Amino acid sequence: MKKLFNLILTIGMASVLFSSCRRDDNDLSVADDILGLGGDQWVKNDIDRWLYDNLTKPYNITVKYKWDQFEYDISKTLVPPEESQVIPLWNVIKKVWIDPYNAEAGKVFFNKYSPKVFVLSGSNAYNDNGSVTLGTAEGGRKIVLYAVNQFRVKGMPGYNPTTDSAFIKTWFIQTIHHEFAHILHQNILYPQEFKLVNPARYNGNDWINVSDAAARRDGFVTSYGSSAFDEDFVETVAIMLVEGKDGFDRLINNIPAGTSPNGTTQAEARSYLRQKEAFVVNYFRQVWDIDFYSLQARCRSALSEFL
Amino acid sequence: MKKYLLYILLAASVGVSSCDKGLDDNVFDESPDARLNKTLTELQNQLVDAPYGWTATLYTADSVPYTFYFKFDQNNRVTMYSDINATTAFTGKESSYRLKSLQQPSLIFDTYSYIHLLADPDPTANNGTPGEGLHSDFEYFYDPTTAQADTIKLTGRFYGSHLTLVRAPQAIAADIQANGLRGVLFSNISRYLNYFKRITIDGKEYEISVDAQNKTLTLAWLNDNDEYEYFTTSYHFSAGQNGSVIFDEPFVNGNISVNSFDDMQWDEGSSTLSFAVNGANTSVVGLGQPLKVDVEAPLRWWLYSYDEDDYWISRRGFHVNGVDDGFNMRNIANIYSGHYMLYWAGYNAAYDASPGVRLVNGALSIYGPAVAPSLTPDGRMVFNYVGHFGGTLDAVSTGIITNVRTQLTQAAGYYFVQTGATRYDMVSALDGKAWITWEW
Repeated sequence: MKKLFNLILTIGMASVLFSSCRRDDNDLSVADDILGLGGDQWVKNDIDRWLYDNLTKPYNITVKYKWDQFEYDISKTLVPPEESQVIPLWNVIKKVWIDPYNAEAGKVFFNKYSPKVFVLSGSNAYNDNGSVTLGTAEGGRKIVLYAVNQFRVKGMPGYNPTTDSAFIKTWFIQTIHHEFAHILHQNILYPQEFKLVNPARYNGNDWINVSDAAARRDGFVTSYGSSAFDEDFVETVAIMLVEGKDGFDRLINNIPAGTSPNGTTQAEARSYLRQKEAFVVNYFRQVWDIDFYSLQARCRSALSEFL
Repeated sequence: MKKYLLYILLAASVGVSSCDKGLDDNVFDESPDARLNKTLTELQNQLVDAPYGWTATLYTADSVPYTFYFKFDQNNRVTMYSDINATTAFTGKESSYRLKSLQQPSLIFDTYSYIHLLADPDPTANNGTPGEGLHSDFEYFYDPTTAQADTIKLTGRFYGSHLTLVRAPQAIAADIQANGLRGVLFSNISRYLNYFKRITIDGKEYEISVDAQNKTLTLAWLNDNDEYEYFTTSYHFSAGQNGSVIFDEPFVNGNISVNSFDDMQWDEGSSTLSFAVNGANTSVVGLGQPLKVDVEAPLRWWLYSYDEDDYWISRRGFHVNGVDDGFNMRNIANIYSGHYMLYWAGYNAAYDASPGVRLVNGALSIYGPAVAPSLTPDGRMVFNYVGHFGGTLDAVSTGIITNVRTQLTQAAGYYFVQTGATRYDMVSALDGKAWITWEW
């Protein structure tokens, strides 16, 4: 019993010693000098002010256009954007994405679900197989947009309607609609029946070997849409918003006669796309109380100003 | 035993809990943050406190030199000139920079400017490798132990390119702002239409050829035995003053020694490039003939293909009147991007093949002329048209291949210049304004 007491006493003493050298002050002023605390600092210019007034203040959206290596895939060679590209790009994105959603669904909805950080790369991101990445998203919060230095819309010097209209649609506008639709269905999933429209035609990772035209003959809006159910859903949303009702109808009507190599007839392919359209429209109305056709009209008419 | 164990424990815990802060006091006298702040502030002040800016040399990871001029201000703005092209050399561009503590104190050119042209992974920006560019950087780290008042040495964070800044004197800054990096005018040598270009140094004629992408130049001359000799050096452009092309290795021939071409001038009206060599002016003269024709080269070239029973390739066909792929062979239906043309000596007993090359259903297919070559005593090879491979294509392709055939079979024929072990330039003997490069 006595031995046990000694043991307890010894342990008690040891713990006293361990705790015996607390700093006698609570001075936190040394923390003021920690570099980079509070983010990078630079002298603000007109671009910074425009972004703050038009995006950060109303929508809590940050656009990082100055190079910060850690926002990008560090295995890729990339360059920062031209300063002169930042406001023209965001003027377009605001009008074709932010404004239509706010007009249809309100600021509370938009600010709750919109991604909050956009990072700009001046160049494309080249992949080992020779392809380039259009955009990347992380966790519904951050989106990286590439090839900002090649962004040209009507009225900008060097704008070439035959190449640039498709370029800005796929590189920028479709990317953002795509990622935003992901955020929406990740909050409330679309009906399971969507997956049963043409389940046997999905290509998985082999989508990369399928052209958009071939994918459409099997009832997908794009080849990437044929990779997985979720991608199919958001690609359908994105293409409908980018192309507008007329453009989407044209896309369906242009599916050629005959049977696809996978055995889908023209009538089946058109029917699949019409069913998916209906799922999208119902999903937006029932889940988010958004009139999709009205949203579509706003997005498309805003975009057509720039093409 | 148990008792000893307890004492040992006790002793150990005393050791762990000792709080003598004096042990490491002598290593650094300030915290890491304070020291980093100090280094960055010093670098910032040094960059800004150069009233006439900095001249700089950037060596890419491939060791190609580029010359820059930078002027930094206190508001994270930098104006730069560079020798990359005629725009960057003569028009300053403003962009942003900032200093940041990454793993080392670092200088980042954080929005696009001339320095990013070299790093851009898009080949349309710099003719570099897709996805890699010219292996250059725009984020540089700084080693404070190398600090000097007038020199800042920086190392690229991604590719490891080297950027050395040297404080510029007033005269150089004024010259750059008024005249740009004039040495870049030397690049206009590519606008000469003739293959053969000559300059005169100390009364002797030299042929000059330039590889602008890799910044190397070659001088060729005839020695006392009437044989060719060659000198090749890499070069870089001077920052301001003199508008010079500076040789990385001096050219020495007998009692003359040349370190640079100075006072670069380009006359747009007469399309003439001139400069001073050791103070004496010379103009570049374009010609249709070499200093000395390599009389045996055509047969050497022909026999190589014949003996190997295989063919020479040309990646982009004829260069004509200053234009690469002057006949637009790229527009031939299904043209093979690897090489547009080939030459196969002894294709069969009756004739050689020198057609365009197409890629059809995964297989190479030839389209264009069959020829019969003949040699002239003065060292030219003339190709006579024999027939056509590959049938009829669309009107555009037909028009292009007809132009190629007309060029190839011109009556004046061609000189051959061997530029490597298995590399020849075949130059029109008519006027030297059309040529094709054959590679193995």
